[in-house]
Amino acid sequence: MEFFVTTVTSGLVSGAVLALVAVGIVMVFTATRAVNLAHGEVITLGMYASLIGLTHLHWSFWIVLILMPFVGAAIGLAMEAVAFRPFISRSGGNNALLTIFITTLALSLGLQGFLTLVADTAGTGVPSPFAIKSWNVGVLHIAPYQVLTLVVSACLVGVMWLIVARTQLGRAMRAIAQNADAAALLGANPKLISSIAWAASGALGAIVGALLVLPGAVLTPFSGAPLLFITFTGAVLGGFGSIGGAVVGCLFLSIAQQLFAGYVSSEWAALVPFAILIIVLAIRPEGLFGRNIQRV
Amino acid sequence: MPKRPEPRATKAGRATVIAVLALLTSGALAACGSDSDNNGGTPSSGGTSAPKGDIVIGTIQPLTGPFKFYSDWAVPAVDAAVKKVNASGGINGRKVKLVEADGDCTSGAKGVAAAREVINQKHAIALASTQCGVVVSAYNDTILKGTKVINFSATGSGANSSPDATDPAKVGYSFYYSPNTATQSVDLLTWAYGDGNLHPKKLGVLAGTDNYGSDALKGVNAYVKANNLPAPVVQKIDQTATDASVQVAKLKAAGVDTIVCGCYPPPTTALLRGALQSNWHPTVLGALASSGRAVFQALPPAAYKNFYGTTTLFDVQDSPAIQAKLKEYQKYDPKLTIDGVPFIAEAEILFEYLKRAGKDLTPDSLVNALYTGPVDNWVLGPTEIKKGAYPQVVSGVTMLKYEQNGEDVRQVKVGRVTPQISIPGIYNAQ
Repeated sequence: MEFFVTTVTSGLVSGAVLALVAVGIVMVFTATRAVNLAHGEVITLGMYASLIGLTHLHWSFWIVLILMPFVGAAIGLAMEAVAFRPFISRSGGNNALLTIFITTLALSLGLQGFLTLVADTAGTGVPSPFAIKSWNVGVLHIAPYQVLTLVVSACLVGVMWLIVARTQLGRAMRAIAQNADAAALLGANPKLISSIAWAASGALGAIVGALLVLPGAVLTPFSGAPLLFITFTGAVLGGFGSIGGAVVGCLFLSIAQQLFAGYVSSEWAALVPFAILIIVLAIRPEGLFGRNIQRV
Repeated sequence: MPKRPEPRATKAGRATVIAVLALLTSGALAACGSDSDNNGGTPSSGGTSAPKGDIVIGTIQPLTGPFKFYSDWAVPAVDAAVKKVNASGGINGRKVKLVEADGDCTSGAKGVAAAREVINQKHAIALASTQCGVVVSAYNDTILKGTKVINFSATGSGANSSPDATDPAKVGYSFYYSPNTATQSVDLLTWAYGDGNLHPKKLGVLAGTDNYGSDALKGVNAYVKANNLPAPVVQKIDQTATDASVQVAKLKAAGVDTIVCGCYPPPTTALLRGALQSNWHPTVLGALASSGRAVFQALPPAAYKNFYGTTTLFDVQDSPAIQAKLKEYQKYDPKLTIDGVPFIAEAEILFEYLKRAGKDLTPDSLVNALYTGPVDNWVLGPTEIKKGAYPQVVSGVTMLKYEQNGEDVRQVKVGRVTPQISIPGIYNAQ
């Protein structure tokens, strides 16, 4: 029982991080229909910003965590300016989205290349700002950093869901995603909505970066990129475009992967998310919670 | 009578003849020129002309990509070694010229292109301090095989393990100056059960899901089999993983007290952190890649208290002898760091063989020089290429412990070990 609880806890914490990553991607997709393939580098930059704050400026982790949204928002807006805005207006429809798919991929590779020039590709260690220990409650053994990760992720996912589902801003986002021209005629400002989405996405990505260095980590210029694969898988599983679906998809995949590693084989655990995705999409192509019409 | 103008056809024909003659002449001159620049003949020809000009040495490094740190270490190291030998008059009166190409470390195809560039275009007669296994084996099997171009590689992986591996004339003259990961595992266990006096009761392995991890496991299994020990408890982990909770829980539940770690820094960090978090203190034996500085930067001293790492250096980085040598070589290339020191070895060992090949340097004389006895080196100690031996020249490691030293970590040498058992396809214990 103890092993089961440990495994599920590990899956839950990893899944919470992936859920935040997924929400960042879905925010941009919801507002613009574009997929940002450079979101992994937002996370990496967030990790390096956290490294600078913790080890060079000797700030407390709380200050770093508070500042990360602003750092991330700036990164998100810069990405929008470089890889999205110049291309979205030049050609319409799917051509523009395909172009942005490529420009964000190019941005991702470019940022990785830049980071290999300025950062140590062998890895830079970031010590945990908190003591490494475990809180033991019966069969549950959980570290303080894991609790913080769960709390921060849950709060942010909740806030984002509320914004998109229950506020005028969210309604405008969804309207623009369906039909930008019609939404503009009704008073929505697509450019402003797009910027808000990119800023929010960047903020979330940078916070993920801070959460990833929290337990103590080895940073490389490629630290953020691997998260995108399983995140996309979780988001597609849940129904791409749905925040709730993306969160459930990521949590489900992460827990399933850890359970497989614990009870079946740690060697093949990496394949589990993709196997699940194929099975689910074969039965329900729109994903668990996806629908033809975008909704949260 | 005035001369009749030459018919156009005749004019054109003469121009054509002149053009062809000019082309043939310039081609002949270019061929003569390249012969005079040639450094002992083309690699495959086994050339017989007397040596002229610089001795061209190549190095293939990941100048770009995720493994760029290898080139940040290796290029200044080889460059410093070249400049140092040139400052002393070169080799047999000839200067050494270094050429480099990007081998990327992740793509065999790119490695082959890089080898083609340094050997065919830049006329290198030998390669030094090359990285990484997948790249080295790609160009060894395509470009070097069948030639007498010597390759002294800094990696331990990628060596040919076929039945012909002991005959470089058949498989290529690539030699590996770092122990293969399987050999490292054998070193770790030889030390743990021997001079290290660790007396492991239950052995576990945390291995990456890539070739590095499977090679580490191969070495563990070879040692366990040779010494009639119980099979180890094996857990695998992705080399980018940052959480090893499940693997730690399984190893702990199985009663493991000693873990061989064949992982890169992120999962190594996750393992040590996970063990500390669950109040479990196994001995962890780290292969070369597990022993990176970043691991210790990320963890408190309690996490690596029972961690034993490895290095190919003969002594610790902080030793006065190593530090003095580092300063000496940094005069030739200020970008050289302590991490680059191991890469000096292959270059300087190669220089010794080039010297032994004599003034009349040819591919044949260089190959013959390889079997003229041991070469001592301040980095790796004495090494020797032996006829009929596997291409892995260096099999031993220095065992290390780690202590916090202010904001840094200090290495403490706890032993030196060489494998005492044979590993099929890799190492013959004699």
